[in-house]
Amino acid sequence: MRYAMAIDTKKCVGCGDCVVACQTENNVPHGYCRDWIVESVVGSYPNVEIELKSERCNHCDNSPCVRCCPTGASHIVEGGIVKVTHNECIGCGACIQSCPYDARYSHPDGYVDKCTFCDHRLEKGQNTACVDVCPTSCLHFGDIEDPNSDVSKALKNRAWKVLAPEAGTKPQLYFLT
Amino acid sequence: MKEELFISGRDIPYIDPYLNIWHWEIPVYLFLGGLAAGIMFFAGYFTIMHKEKEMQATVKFAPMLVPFALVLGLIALFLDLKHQLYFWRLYTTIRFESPMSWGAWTLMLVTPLSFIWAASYMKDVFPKWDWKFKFLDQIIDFIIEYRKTMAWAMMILAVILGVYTGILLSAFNARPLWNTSILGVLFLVSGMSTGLAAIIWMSKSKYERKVLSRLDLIFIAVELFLIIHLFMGFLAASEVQIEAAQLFLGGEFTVIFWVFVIILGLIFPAILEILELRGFHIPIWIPSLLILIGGLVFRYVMVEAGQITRYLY
Amino acid sequence: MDKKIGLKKRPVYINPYFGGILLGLLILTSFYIAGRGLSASGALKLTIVEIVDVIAPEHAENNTYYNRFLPEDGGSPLFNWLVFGAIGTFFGGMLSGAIFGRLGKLRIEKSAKISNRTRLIAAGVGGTLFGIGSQFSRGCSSGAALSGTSALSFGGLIVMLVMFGVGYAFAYFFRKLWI
Repeated sequence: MRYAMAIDTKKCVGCGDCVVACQTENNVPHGYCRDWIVESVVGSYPNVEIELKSERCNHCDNSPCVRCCPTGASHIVEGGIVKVTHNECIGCGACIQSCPYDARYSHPDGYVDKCTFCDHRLEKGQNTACVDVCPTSCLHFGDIEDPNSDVSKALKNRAWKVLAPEAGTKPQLYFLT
Repeated sequence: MKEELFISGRDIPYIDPYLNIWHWEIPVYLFLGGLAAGIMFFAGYFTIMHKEKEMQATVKFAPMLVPFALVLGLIALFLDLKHQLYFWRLYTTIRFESPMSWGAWTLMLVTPLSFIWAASYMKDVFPKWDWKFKFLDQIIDFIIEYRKTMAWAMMILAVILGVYTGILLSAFNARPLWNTSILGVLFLVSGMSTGLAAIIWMSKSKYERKVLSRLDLIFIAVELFLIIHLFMGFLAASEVQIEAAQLFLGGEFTVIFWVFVIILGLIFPAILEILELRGFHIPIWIPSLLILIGGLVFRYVMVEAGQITRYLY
Repeated sequence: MDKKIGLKKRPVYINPYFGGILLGLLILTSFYIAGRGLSASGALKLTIVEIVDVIAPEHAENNTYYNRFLPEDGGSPLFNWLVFGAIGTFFGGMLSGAIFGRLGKLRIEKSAKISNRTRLIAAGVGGTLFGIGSQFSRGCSSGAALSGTSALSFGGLIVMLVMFGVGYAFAYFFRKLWI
């Protein structure tokens, strides 16, 4: 059981619904976000290429944030989801500095927060908030070890890439190019 | 053109343009930690070499500063935490993969040791000091018996503390400026140099100042060597690290770094110390103060600039 | 380093004419390196602007005088050639004093016939007048007189002549402070 997500960059239009849905579902405080859109533009008119990606915590296999946490508040749960135990976090910021994807932020209440793959929804058999709300259905989520899951099928016939593979983090967010 | 924009259609000022979460508290703590490590190392070293009589300031007077430095550093660290009520969680576990955990436990060992060392010399520094209870006098006598063991422990822990201040930053590989293992040794040497500067300032004996100035010159030379190699390493590494180095070679931190850290913090004090050793009269507080300020500014610049550098975006 | 210089008992001072030539060459070097001259009062003024900006930012913004020296991009007014020149002058002078034996304890130089308090009050009053005057004349002895006249500025020339002329004329009345 290993949760992963595939984002189809050809279908993402950068609408930001995933950003707002996540902020609403998870009570993200104003001024912070758990997922975000990155627009990469290469070239100049008329030879312009644009790529839109919806990014979030990559829930890495070799996560530097879990390794560097001094109290063990950052930990990995069933399914490979990286989570933070709020009352064990001291707010030192080491995990924020060690994430190459800048996925974590310091919650105003003091602890460090980030995308949790909506595990409170996964427990009830629902999908994550961002996947549910995406109007172009470009987000594919599921158990990557199950060949019949949405994400495995999306990855089967498409070329994909991960962000910063050289960081050695083994991220579980795949961007279909 | 090649442009990457962080757009989310909504107002996210705390994350864009870059996450800057460590402010003045961390550089102050790194500086005080390095200073304490430097003073403790030399106090231990000269005790083992049986030079307590000649190096009085090193062994007796300067270590009086160490408990204050460490406590102030810990307060700065505590102020930096954002979830302060849970700080005790740091001491419920030891995680070998986390340098911050190493540091928390090293400080836990070093701070009481420095208090004990300072306490054992209280009667020497303050002749009228009275412990008031007989059992405290007995404990102090017991400690004085074991000074040599404590000196060895202090030296080893001081090196670990000094290296830890650098490794703390270099463990965060996500920041290209910090992603170099030279920072561990560099901060250790810088800490030793600031420690020596503080001891030289407090010293009243010419012989002691001479010995320590010579040592300080060696450490300054090594520090300059390491800084040059730090930049050579950056310029020979990946694109993000070349950009990180450019912050210091033409970017926004160029002037502060080269003027206050290198020239006024290392080279000029070294020249003044050389002149002092050659017989010219230099007021002793000038090179020491410059080295101390240079050390603080160096750590401040490394923490600020490091948070600007990123691998993505 | 020549050890003999360090062991001489008397402090060593350079020949003033030679010193003047060196200072002139320094100004030319300053023009070559930075495209502008030096000014000690300029460095102090920028420090004052920074202090006002830190204590009362709105006042500094609204005041025409201070506003001129606040950089548009929000940086510090201290980030300026003049300030770093002044810092360098301080440490360079210290180095030269150390090598040539002029560096001693912190002391008050005055005539033996007046008290320390008199000397310090006179310094304070004189300094205040000099500060006001330097801002009126847009420079001091290094800014207007030295750098200004090197750039053939007529205003700089007037400032220099009047400054030294008035000083010469009034010196008689203050001779007791020095002899």
